[in-house]
Amino acid sequence: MVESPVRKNPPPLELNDVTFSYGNRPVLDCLDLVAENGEHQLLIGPSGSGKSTLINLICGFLTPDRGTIRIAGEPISEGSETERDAIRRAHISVVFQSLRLVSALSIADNLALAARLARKPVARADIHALLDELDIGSLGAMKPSELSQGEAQRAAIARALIVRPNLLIADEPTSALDDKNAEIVASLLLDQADRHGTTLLLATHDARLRSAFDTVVDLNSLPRTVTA
Amino acid sequence: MIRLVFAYLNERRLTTALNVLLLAIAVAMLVMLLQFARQSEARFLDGAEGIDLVVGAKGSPLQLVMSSVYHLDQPTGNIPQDALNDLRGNPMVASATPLALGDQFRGFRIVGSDYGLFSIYRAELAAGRRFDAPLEVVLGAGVARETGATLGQRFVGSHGLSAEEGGQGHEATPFTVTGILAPTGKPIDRLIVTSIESVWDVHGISHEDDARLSVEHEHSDHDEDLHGEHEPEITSILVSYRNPAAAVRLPPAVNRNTAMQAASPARESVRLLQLFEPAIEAVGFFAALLAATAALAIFIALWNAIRAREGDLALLRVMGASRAQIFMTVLLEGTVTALLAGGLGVVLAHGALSLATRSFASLSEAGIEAWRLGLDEAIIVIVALFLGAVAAAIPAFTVTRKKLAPTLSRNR
Ligand SMILES: Nc1ncnc2c1ncn2[C@@H]1O[C@H](COP(=O)(O)OP(=O)(O)OP(=O)(O)O)[C@@H](O)[C@H]1O
Ligand SMILES: [Mg+2]
Repeated sequence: MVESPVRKNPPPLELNDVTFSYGNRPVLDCLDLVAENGEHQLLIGPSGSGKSTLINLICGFLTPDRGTIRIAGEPISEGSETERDAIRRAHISVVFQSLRLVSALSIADNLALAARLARKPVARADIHALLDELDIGSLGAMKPSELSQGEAQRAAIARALIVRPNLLIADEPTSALDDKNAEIVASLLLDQADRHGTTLLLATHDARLRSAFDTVVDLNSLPRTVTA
Repeated sequence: MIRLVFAYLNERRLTTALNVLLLAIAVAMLVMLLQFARQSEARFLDGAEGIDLVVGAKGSPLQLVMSSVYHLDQPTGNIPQDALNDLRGNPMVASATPLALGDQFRGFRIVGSDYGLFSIYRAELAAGRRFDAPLEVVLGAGVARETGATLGQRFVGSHGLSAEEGGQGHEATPFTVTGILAPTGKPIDRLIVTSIESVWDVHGISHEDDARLSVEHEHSDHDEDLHGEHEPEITSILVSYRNPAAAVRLPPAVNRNTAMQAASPARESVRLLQLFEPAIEAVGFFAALLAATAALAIFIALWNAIRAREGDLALLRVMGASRAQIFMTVLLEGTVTALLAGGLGVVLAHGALSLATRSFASLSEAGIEAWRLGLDEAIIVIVALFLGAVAAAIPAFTVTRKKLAPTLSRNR
């Protein structure tokens, strides 16, 4: 099958017929998914349904058995590791449930390092402005281990946002947090995505978040895509 | 990136400090060994320049050379002054310079000689003039620096060759400083030079059969002594040859036909250095072993660190770091550890040398200078860096081979 010519404005995320299994253990089967510019998508499914696996595929850490994944039109599911690194670096930021920050560096240095590694250098003032915006402006000089869970997750979001990604992915960003902090973090992500027109893909098993998202993808139901 | 490397080193600073110390000690040992070997060798060769042969009383030839050329050991005994005239009359001899030892001032030897000593060591006057009248002296540069003595100053020598011997003072015959020599880097820097006659004056010309130079001080008894029955004596004679053939013919002639011995400084210093060789090799081997242990310690520390840091390193990749950059951070950690160790080792070595030269006068007398840096030290530091890099290379490589997906989806 011949691919249609590249669209003028390709979507930030496009999965085509993606199938993946760990050895002979199928996880994802013929998955199609598109996220438009500025769209907020919720990826929902119980534990073991393959949310993290899907995120690893989207980030190019795993390659699908079949199908293609495009980030802003560029295929991250193919090509060499260096090519996949480059696509990820250019477009994607990720927030994890618990793997948040480099422990040896202060919060501000974590942000600076993220910007450097993404080759999008920022001024110290921008870093502090962003931390202020996330209400952790006073914590820039602290080490990650000195922060509370909620503060650390906000710092991790700041670390992901400082590079102004096209696509912000969050894997269970709230499940290690109590209700109050979970709500703060979730609304923060949505608010920031809104403000900067970032496409947001949030994976969770927490159905409470459904109502706030444009689109909900349920990995356990067929057909998978449900519009809220 | 560099900042991250330092942050990591700081995070596990105890391990870092221990590893740095371990490697630093190895580096320090090697540097000290090198300094010692190189400086003493250079000193020995420089110090003997212009002296082809030493003629003195029978005994150990090494002792004769050490005492008369380097002024480190006790003399072997005395020889009659006539020997000087005999040697000067010998056609194979270009120059013969007498030495009369026996006294010191604050640990610096007072040497009775003539102007020939200045030309042997190529010593120029920095101030004043040469000794002329009896009891006038010229100070070596080191003596002037350390005693603070100035032109015109008077001082009293005391018996014995080192300050510890603390012999009697010669209060009746004080010396006067008439000149100070410019530094030469040779043994004369640490000598107080005067005329042979001055030394005789101080002691009275001894009549006793003392093995050493005139140890008699009782000027009052002077006249009752059997003075005049014995020739005035000197300690030894420094000889330079007129032609190469003398090297073959003069020493056996002296050894066979006189009651004196002839010793070659070049031969004796080579023998002395050879004496040190097994010790130097043993210490070198131990230092190399220590360096290998340090490299192993760095390797183990990094190996553990990268395992504890799996999450961090995965996160760095997520943030956009390439495999090469991850490799470099770990490699740099090893190299920076080694660099710190190299720097510390060099400082440690020179610190120890400077302490040693300050506490043991004999070391500084032997011409060991504490703070002279050499190119070879740069080579030692580079080898240490290389060790650090090698120790880090395997953990660094392992990190880059690591699959990221499992680490990232772990919900710790
Ligand atoms: N490295 C791996 N090797 C083999 N099987 C794996 C591996 N990682 C995950 N799996 C399996 O793949 C399935 C999907 O795992 P995944 O981590 O994607 O689920 P998840 O939806 O993120 O779950 P959770 O909500 O608990 O995070 C699970 O059955 C898991 O056991
Ligand atoms: Mg998961």
